[in-house]
Amino acid sequence: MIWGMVGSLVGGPLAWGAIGWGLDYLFGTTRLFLPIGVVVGFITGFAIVLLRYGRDPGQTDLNNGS
Amino acid sequence: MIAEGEGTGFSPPTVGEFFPDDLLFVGTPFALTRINLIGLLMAGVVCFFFVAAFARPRLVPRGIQTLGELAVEAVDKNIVLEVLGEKGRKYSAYLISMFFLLFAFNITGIIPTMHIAVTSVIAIPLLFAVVAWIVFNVEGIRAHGFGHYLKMNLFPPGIPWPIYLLVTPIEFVSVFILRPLTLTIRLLANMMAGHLLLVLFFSATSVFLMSDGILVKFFAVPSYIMGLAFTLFEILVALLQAYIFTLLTAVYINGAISEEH
Repeated sequence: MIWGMVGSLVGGPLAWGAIGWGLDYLFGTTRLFLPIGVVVGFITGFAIVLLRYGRDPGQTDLNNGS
Repeated sequence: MIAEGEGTGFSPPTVGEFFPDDLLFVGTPFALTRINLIGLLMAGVVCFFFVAAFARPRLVPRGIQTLGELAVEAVDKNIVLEVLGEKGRKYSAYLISMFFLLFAFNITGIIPTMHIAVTSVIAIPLLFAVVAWIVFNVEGIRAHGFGHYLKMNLFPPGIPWPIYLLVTPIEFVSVFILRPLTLTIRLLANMMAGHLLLVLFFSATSVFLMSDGILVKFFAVPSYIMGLAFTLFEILVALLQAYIFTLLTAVYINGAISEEH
């Protein structure tokens, strides 16, 4: 479980940071979408951890899809 | 500083420790360093051990067969059956081989004359991680089909579809990119750090002992004790890292082939 949490928390800023960097490259901007992407990724990664691991085992949705 | 003052020339360990000069087949693409040779030797030792243990098995095990069965059963029971259950039998050979090879490659860090873990060079943990990545993805695709396997991993159930725009890239990075990377870095960093600590303590012991001042010589005692303590600790780390790597591979395979994800 702990590695899944780490994966989401690290993967969030990485994935959205990369997307932000790509948008910066595409639109010729500098340091605009990259920080936005990192923040969005961090918040989403944190939300995934809360939704997936922060509930009682009996509850549903992101918690293993059960 | 003390060492320099005394003229003994203390040189702290560097990453150069992990990139020794070529010893065999120098100048060819097959050049082998000291670490490569230790790896080949340990792979041979593991093969020899299991061949010797199980080449002529007896109903009532004796000698090396008892040791072999104990070793195999320990991994089979505590990792394979614990994580994958009976359906994990087909992965037993792979996971047990992985555990013992990793342990053999880790433990060389404290074997006298070898004194470097084969897994402290990135190629070896990376190779194990890439093989684990291929195995769990191939098994997941075989169990569910390519489309369903991707859907299982990239679109976790129970969330409104617009949120997938945010979640799916993270799930992709987390499952398909970070898993092999974290497997590699966890093992590599542990073995590198262990080696550097041992070199640091024992070279400091040597420098303290060779120094002229009586008071400075006294510092060799705690430094040597710490070196010994970390040597014992490295046995635990070697075992633990082999266990964690194998356990996580089993968990990833189980996640890939299970219906619920």
